[in-house]
Amino acid sequence: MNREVALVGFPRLQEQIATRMLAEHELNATHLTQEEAEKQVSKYGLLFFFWPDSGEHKHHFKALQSSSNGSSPPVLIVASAAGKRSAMSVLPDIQDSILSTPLQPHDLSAKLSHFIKVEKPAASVALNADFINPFVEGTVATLKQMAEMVCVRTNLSLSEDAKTSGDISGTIGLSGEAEGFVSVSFRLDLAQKIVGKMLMLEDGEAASEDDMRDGVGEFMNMVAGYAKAQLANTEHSFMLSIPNVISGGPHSVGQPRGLSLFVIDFETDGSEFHVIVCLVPKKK
Amino acid sequence: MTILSVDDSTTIRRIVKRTVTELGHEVLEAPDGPTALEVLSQNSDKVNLVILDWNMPGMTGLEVLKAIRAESKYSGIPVMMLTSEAEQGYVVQALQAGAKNYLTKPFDKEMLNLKIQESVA
Repeated sequence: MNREVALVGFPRLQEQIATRMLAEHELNATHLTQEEAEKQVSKYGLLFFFWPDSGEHKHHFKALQSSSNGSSPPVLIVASAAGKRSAMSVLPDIQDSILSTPLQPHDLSAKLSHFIKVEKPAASVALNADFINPFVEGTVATLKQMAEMVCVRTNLSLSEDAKTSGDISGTIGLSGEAEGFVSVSFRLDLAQKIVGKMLMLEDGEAASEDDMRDGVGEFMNMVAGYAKAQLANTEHSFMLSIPNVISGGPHSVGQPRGLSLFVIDFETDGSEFHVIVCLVPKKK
Repeated sequence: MTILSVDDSTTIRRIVKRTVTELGHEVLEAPDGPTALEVLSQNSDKVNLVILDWNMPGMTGLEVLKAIRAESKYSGIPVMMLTSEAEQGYVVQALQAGAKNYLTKPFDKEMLNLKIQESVA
């Protein structure tokens, strides 16, 4: 299999991001100008064409496709939202060949799997209980003490996708010796129940939308605060940002930038909820 | 007794308010440090305890604590920290700055009651 990939006309930052993500799939990236690409197209197993936000690029893209004579590499477009609209307006049949910026690891993996049958090697990250357990304990303690509810951890898995099936999620950015984010995601009915119990609402009294947003954010803040204390003075120590709450689903709770996420599943009161942890020590 | 509850989270302020009013006390509230100092200046003769979060936008709880302790007219008003910052270093900083008590989140309501009683004793 030809593992050489050409990045055509990429700005510096996008080139760096794409190169790093492709390396995770054991693919070698080379930056080329449009002219270089047209001459050397047969050397590559795949071409990524960066479509700028403005200007007329249809003939450049078509020139690359025709250079490949239909027998060699697929050509995919990388574009911002504005660039994507521009590309779609002149080439309406290429939607499946477009990757949006900021590049998402799971989107890139899907395109690589579809177009050149390349899969990312299995993650070799070990599940580190020392680093995950404080978040599990913090979740159990917060639910028990603030809502008088008991939960159990049902599963722990690795994922590259920050999308969640929950209806409402609270996320806190983490920075310091380690960086990343932690997020809790609930179905709406479970979030209503937990926040209602935290606020000691009477039976039949419903938490308002503002109550829900603040309650879920504060729940996440307490879980992260608990874990922060447990992980102090370790390579995973961190500071907390102000919680951010997203509702409406399905939604993405963060941008992992090629990093693996730990997804911790819990069950309480017959319902599931998830805590997602992305925390990576800074390289020294 | 009147307690000033300072927290940017309405959830925590409501929990404190509900717990404290069930004990028969009155609660004043502030969502941030500057508002807390203003409320305190207008009610310094009636506030018996300040319950203070640490992480708030604008002015941290530690800065608010130091501002309170810097005013001699508030010297008789105890301050209790109620925060998700549970590391020992934070507790030491708060106690050194003049906090009378320190309760970490998550907390149960009985512990909140107990710490309030301790703080005003």
